[in-house]
Amino acid sequence: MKERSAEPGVEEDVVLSVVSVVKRFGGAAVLKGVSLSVAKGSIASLLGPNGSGKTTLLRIVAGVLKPSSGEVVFRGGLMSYLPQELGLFKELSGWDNMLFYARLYGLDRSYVLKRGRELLERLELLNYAKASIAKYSGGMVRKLSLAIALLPDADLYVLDEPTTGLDPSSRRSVWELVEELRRGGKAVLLSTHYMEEAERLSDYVYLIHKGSIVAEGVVEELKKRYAPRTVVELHLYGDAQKAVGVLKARGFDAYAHGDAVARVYSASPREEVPQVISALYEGGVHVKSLNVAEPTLEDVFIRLTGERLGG
Amino acid sequence: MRLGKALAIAIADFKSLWRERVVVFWCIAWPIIMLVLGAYIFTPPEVGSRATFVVGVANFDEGFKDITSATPLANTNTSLTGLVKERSVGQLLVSTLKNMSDFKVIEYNSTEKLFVDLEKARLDIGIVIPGNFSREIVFGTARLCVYVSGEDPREVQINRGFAQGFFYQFSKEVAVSKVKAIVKSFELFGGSYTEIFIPEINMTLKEVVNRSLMGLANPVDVIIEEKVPQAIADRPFIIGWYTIGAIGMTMLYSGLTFGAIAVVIEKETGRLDRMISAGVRAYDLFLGKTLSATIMMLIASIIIVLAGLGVGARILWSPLNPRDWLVLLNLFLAFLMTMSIGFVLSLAVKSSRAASTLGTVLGLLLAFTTGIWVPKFMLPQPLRVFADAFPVTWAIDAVRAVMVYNEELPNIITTQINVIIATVSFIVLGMVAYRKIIARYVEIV
Repeated sequence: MKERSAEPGVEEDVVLSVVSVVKRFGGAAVLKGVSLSVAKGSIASLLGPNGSGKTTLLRIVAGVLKPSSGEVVFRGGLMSYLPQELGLFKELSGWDNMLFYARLYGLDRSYVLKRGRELLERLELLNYAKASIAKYSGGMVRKLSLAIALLPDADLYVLDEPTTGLDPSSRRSVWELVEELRRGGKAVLLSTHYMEEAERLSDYVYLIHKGSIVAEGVVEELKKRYAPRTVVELHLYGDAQKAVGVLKARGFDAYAHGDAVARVYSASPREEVPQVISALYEGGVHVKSLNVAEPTLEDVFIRLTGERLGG
Repeated sequence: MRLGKALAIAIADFKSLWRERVVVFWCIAWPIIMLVLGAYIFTPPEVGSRATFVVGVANFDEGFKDITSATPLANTNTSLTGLVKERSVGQLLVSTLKNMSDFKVIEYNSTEKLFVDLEKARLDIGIVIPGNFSREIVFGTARLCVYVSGEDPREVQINRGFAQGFFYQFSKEVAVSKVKAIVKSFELFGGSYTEIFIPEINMTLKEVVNRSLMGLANPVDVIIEEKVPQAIADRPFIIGWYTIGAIGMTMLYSGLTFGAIAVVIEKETGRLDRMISAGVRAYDLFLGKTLSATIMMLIASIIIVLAGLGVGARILWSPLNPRDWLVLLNLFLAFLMTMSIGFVLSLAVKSSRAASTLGTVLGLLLAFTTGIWVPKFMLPQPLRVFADAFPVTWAIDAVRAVMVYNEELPNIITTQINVIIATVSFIVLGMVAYRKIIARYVEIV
């Protein structure tokens, strides 16, 4: 993880500043005073469950929506945006789709041929470039859409859930490409609800919940601040809610993580794990297996909101 | 740069339209299907040529047996008496009918069989000639029973009219023959008396009798000549009319659909967000979409015209005649009007599927009710008023005026000006609707 303790908004090389943005649709506020910034050569992630306001915020950044109040300042020449809806012509080939956006961005043909080919090759789409995308799988279409977003030599890349629906191998390829952008001095703002994606890629994370940034910072700092203890994950034969009830009655910090999984935060797992198992046994809940892990961003999110990232 | 963005949208959108089978079907295949139906079912090859009437005749006429050489009438040597000595008037009527190209004559031995065929509409006209027909025609008033049939009330009406016309003429000819016979008899029996000169009227008595009786037989000499528009007289004109109608029909539902779907499809696919973030503005999208749809319609129109020529349409167009370029202008204006209506429709739809359905249904409905696909004279009166007031019809009629009827420029210039004014009004309305609909989805336009 990259070391970065300073707040990005005050740095000189900030490419994007979002200041106190409020967005209302009708009477309902979807964004409630969101502020963030992204600097050159860095990746900022918006991490939050579906419906938290990530896409609305990115649409405002991309210039598609106007904020009801607050402001968005982009200090760069070109911004490239990958929307959640992929924005492609299904009747056209992958290459024709790429050419269409290249024309909109006014890109030089020789540049498009070189960079486009490279991106398609990296995402294993080159052999299908001339086929109609109606014949592509869902993952291939998403990769093509991402390749198009990465085509322009932009100062800021705004990527709305770039890896949703991709297999693990493709996801790693995408991560590598995004990391290359950072190495090339580009700024990236991406939204995701995958904690491992945010943890791997982010220099700075904004946790967003119900239209507000509930926490922000470097990943390790967030974990230290909000989820300092080890996590004991218990896979149960019984009902997780019942197990949580038993454990809370014994003073443990526990919560359900699905129908048959409970998680317990522990400062000293070596001593506490036997007590947990014993308590569950006495409460009539049997443990199938357990594992002890370091906390993740999801744990941070749960600690802050009481809700899981996956909704 | 701005034009570059519109052009990029136009290229991609056109390629997308061209590869979409449903679009190709509606823009090219459907109008050709309708045109072929129009040419071979609604306008079969016999249209424009004179109709042939199938006439059934049951002839029971026994002739004029009473005439002998002693009968004074037999010696008058008129065509009628000469004829009735040889054969019956009934036979004369049948052979006359057979010699006329308008009739196909079938003879019957019994009235029952004749009536059966009439009731089954195998015959247009049935004639029953009674036994005393020859005798009564010479010495009295002959009775002839004529029956008309047909596959629909309109055809029955036509057959009745034709039979009445024919027998009116037949009666007149009989009367003239009878007058000639009487005058001949008058000469035969009157002798020198018939040559008395009447100075007040400067005529002989024979001339007075002859003229008076001829006047009774033929009091009004009506001359009926056909002066019909070529469009209804000639099959190539009719198919030419339908060819331009097919283009108009396609423009209606395509323009309405393209206009209604233009923004919502971009929203649904996510292209709208992406284009806006790439610097595309509302007018770039409007221009690009209009351009791609126009190219599509131009190609469709050329193919429809070729198909029309293939099925025998009369289509005139010369690049050397400046007037003929009005055709392209009017087609373009008609399409702009339909797209503008489509933009207004888009305010009422929330999905591309709804937009497509609404555009197609309304477009087809308008094609059949505004004189674009169905001729105005076939429409009920209120729809004729609507058709006369519908500016897209003006544009399509202006195209017909040039390509089918070869009208001179001064005859269409007023319509042309009206079409231009109407198009500008439609575009203003369409743009207002377009900006409203695009603002529904994106806020920076």
